[in-house]
Formats: sequence, C-alpha cells, structure tokens
Amino acid sequence: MASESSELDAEGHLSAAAAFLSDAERMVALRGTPNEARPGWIITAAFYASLHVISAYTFARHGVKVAAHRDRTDWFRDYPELATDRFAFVSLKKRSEAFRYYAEPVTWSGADEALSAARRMNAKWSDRTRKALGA
Amino acid sequence: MGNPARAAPPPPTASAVKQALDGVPGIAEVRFADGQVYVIRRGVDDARDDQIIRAFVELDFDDFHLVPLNMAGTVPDGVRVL
Repeated sequence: MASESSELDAEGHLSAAAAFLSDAERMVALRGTPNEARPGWIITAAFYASLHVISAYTFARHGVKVAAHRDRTDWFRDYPELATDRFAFVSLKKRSEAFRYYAEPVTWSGADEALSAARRMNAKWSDRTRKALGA
Repeated sequence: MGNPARAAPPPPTASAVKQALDGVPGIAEVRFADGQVYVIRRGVDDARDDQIIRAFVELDFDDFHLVPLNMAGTVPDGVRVL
C-alpha cells in the first residue's frame, strides 16, 4: 500500500493511516499470546500510519502529492506547522529502518512509545485534514 | 501540485556531526559514506537513540542510519568521524 501512496488522495491517505494504526493496535493486543508479533513490526506500522496521515494533511491543506520518501523529509522544512512533530516522525522512520534493514532488536517499551506517538499524530493531523477538506 | 521550490540544505560537516554526537554513550563509530551518515551503536538503548535522532533533527539532516554493531560489516566504506 505504501509504495502506491503517491496515487492516493487525502481521503485515501487517511484510510491508509487508520489501517496501519489498527494493525499496530492489534499487534499490541496480541502481546504475550502465541500469535505475538515482533515489536519492530509495531514500530513499522506506527511509522506508516504517521506517514500517511501527514501525507493526507499536506495533500488537503497544501495540495502536495509526494512521489518519493525523499520528498517527505522536506515537509518539515516547507510547512512550519509540522515542525513540532519532526522528531517523532524521524524517530519512527529511523527505528523502523533499523529493524527492517539491520535486524535491530526492538524493545516493547520502544514499541509502546511508537504507538503512542502514532496515535497522537493520527488524531492531530486527521482532524486538521478534515478541517482542510471542509468536512 | 508539488513542493515549493527550495534548495536542499547542505549536509553537515564532519566536525558538526562529531560535536553533536560527542559524549552520547554506546556509539562505536560514526561513518560518512556516499553522502550519508551511519551511526554504529553497541547494544539496545532507546534513550541513547533518542539523543542521536534529536541531534540529527537539530542538524536538519535526515540521511543517517542507526546500525547495530553486529551489522557494521554491511556499512559502505567511508570516512570515520567518531
């Protein structure tokens, strides 16, 4: 889904964000069960939830479609209202990459913090997206 | 549709990265390679990684990687700055 995100409109990005956040929530709920996922996947789902909700906002508020991950790093320079979430976003991105690219072990507390950050960003930027859309 | 025109900021200097990360515990090596920065760390430490990430955010530089020590062999050759 994420690889096709440049084709999504704001509503599509909001749906994608909600789906990734739901994935993260379900993986947390499975902790301690035989179906437990590695916490790195929770960080990864949290990262994609945040990526899509900010994509939704930039599309709705600024008319920006993002074609590549590289362009997303410019959000925080181009739109000052996003600056307060730059650390949280970069943290999710870099921790997810370390897990996926380098098999970095991830702690449950790290996964919990990632999910909290994704919940907060999803609530904030989905609300602002809907306001920008006039909903 | 598109982002406003703007020049990408220049990458930080080696000395700026060294200054930003100096004193952060658990860093085995910091390497510049192919325009990117690889931070090779010992062990798992969420608070330490927060320090590293915050340092790069303050440097306005996103092309960095967090690498565990046991994967250091996968990092491209480059210039060691720390």
